[in-house]
Amino acid sequence: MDNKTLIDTIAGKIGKTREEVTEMIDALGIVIADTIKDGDIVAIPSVGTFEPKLRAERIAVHPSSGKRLLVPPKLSIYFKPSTLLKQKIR
Amino acid sequence: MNEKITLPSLVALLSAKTGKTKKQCEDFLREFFNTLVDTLSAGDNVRVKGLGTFKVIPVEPRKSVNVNTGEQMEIPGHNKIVFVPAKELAEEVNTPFAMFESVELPDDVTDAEVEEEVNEDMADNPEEIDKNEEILIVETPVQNTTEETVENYVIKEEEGKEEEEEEKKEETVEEEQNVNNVESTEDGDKNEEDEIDQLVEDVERVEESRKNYRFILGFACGVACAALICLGAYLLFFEKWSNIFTSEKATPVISESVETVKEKPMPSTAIAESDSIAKEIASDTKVSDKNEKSEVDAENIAPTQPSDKKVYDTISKTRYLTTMAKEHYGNFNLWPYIYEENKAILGHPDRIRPGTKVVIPSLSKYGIDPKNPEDIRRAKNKGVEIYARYQ
Repeated sequence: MDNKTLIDTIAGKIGKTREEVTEMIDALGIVIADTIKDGDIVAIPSVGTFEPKLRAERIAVHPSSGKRLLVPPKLSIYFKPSTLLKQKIR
Repeated sequence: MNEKITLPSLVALLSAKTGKTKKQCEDFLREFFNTLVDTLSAGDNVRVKGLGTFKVIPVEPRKSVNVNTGEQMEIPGHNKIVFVPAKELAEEVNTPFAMFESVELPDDVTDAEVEEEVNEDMADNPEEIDKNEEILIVETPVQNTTEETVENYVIKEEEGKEEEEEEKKEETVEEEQNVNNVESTEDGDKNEEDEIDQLVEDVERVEESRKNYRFILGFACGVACAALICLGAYLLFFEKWSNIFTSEKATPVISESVETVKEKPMPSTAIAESDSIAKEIASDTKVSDKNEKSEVDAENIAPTQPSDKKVYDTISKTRYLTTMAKEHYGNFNLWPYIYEENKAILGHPDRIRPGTKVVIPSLSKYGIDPKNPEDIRRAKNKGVEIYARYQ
């Protein structure tokens, strides 16, 4: 399901316009990003949690040029599905 | 930090962000996540703009072993969810580290050196640097022009200034790298390889010679120390012995003088009437006083003589019969006489227990002169005899 159909589905269910739903989803993305950036965990019951994860710096080899690169550390976002969701999709 | 944002607080944040009521936000969120879960349950991927993609990925069944029982078992195939964050979200999250960029590393930098670069402050240990140097020299293909740099480097190093060395090393290493970059594009000859081998050997040889030099220096120091100690010990014993000999010589002289003293007062008392003679008496008595004093001195010295008293000594781990013989008689070959004196308490001459107390007999008891080579020869024979008893 892509973004458009998702918005359509949600809009039909809660009786709002697509613009409003789009705005809400954008806001949701920003809110989650802000929380994760602060180092907090966003936990949504029966869906899962969004957690920040620190990837340590490492030395990687460039696949095509064969040069060795020192990759800097990185904060990434990690979604951990809840057990309920995991069982549902099984 | 590390707080858990649950659905109610997320609703509050969202309503603050969009300006909508909490009720609306909650409805939206609930519906959003319900749709998400439903779609995922149906096995469909969900792409949300500004958030990311939730993918359902099938996992094939695989075989495994129960760790506790060791039984073979099969993990059944299932689906799993993978969340790939949208680019905007990932970038937003990574803003604290956004200023870092991947750095390209030079080819010939080893992992250890990267670590060293990271803790450059801690890289003061000269040994580590030495090792790295060696690695660098061996690793980098040395070529015609690098010969000079390597030699320079060796010469510089031999100047032995550590602090300067470090800088120079870096310089030379850089030079080598440059040369490599330039010449790596040129055609490689077999001659070059030979030269490389030779150069590596040369460098190794120089290093070896340095090690040898150090070793010889240390050895020389050790030998010098040992020589000094020996000299000191020799002087000590020699002087001790010379003292004893002089005192031995001194005693007969004193006894003679005592005799003369005893003789002199007799005539002086016989002619005791004249004043001049009285003076003589006075002078004589003075002389006798002096002689008496020297006699007392001689008596004080006397106990140190091995011939007068029974001398005891104790065997220790570093003190054998031979060392005692050397000390008391001046010749270690005379140890059999000490052994003979203590025959009753000693066993095998090489297996005397440390702490054993032995009597050092005077050599006159056996009629031995330590300076007579004939006596020494006899003592040696005696030693052989003693050993023969235990075979």
